[in-house]
Amino acid sequence: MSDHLKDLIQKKVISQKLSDNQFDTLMTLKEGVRQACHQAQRRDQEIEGQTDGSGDKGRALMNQFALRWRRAVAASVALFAVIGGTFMIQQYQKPLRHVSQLSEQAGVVEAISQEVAKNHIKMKPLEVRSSKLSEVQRYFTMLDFSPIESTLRFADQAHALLGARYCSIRGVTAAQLRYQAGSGLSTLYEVPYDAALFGDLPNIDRGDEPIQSYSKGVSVKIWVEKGLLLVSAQNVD
Amino acid sequence: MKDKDAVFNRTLLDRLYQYACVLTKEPHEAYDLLQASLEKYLKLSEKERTLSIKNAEAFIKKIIRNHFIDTLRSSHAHLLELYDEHAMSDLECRDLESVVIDRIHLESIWNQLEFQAREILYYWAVMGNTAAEIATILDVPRGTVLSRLHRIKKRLQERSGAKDPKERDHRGGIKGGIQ
Repeated sequence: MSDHLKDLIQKKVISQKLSDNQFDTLMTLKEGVRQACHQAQRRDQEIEGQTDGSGDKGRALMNQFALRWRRAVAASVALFAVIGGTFMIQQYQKPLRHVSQLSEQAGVVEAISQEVAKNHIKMKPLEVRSSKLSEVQRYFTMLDFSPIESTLRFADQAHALLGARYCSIRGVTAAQLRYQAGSGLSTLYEVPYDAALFGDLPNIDRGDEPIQSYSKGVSVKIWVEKGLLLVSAQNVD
Repeated sequence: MKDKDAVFNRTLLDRLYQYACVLTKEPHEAYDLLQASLEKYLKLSEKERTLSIKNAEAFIKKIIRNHFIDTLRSSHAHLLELYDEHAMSDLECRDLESVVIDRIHLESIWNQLEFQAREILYYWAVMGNTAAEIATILDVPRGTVLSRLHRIKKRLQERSGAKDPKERDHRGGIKGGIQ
């Protein structure tokens, strides 16, 4: 069911609303901060009054110091209460978040698989042709990492490096290495691993197994190795 | 305190939450972002408020945006801009008006777009702003908004694989507007 892009975005965005609990929490936050502001204002006024009235500057300064000290203690108590409250809410929401994280993780893997499979099928021209990794590494001057030769072989086939080109995964600039693997071609995508962006993925340096998935008839493996996110793509025989 | 209190109505808070959702894509993160930003806003002194706040909603959106970018700074990848970021383009918001797309495609593209692109789509589709107005709101040159629009259009094309939109009309995906 197709619709105008504008209408769909409107529907999508406007459907997101605060829950009653969230709204109530924000109202509580407002009251808390407002009361704290009022108290601070009252204290300032008290200090000003004392300073003007007594004429004793030394005593006024002492009072000012004492009031500031009390305010700091009150602020610390309030901060502690907020942190404690937040911690309790987080504990309560943890199971729900876990489910949400799992589904988000599956979405990330699916998105990476689709993007890599699409790039693999396109087989855009190589920007550097070499069978030596060192030459390929020298080519990638715009990357803030050095492409590696993975210890994971493509389906145990003998493979030979053909060359490489720039590409991207999820908007992050990446290196694409192309191999002759058996009678077909394999591509290996490398990008710095960022857990915040890609989620928790299997790390073969820790002995984890790569994630295997299929997209558009392409076999895709995803894993982390030596601090890089590696994604291999190969046609299914 | 009158202006500060005016922010705390359901409609406006929902709008601010929706904006936070556009930036973060994740409801829990959006709520945390909104809460932190409102706290920052409420702690402003009367003087600061009078000097800087003409439109509370726009002002809080700016706080939300700055706070969001601050949290992203550690991960520079999110802020990477493609090489044609400042390339000029003659694409205008109205060129997107006729784009037709299905919900599944939109969800897929939405999740892959950088937050800057989602933000532009938000101001265009939800707030009804023009490219020039979006440029003023986001404090970027109009050319940058236009080139981001151009990139969004390219993404839509790539995602649908449509070279000739008329050919795709009977298969769903994207049609119209994309040339």
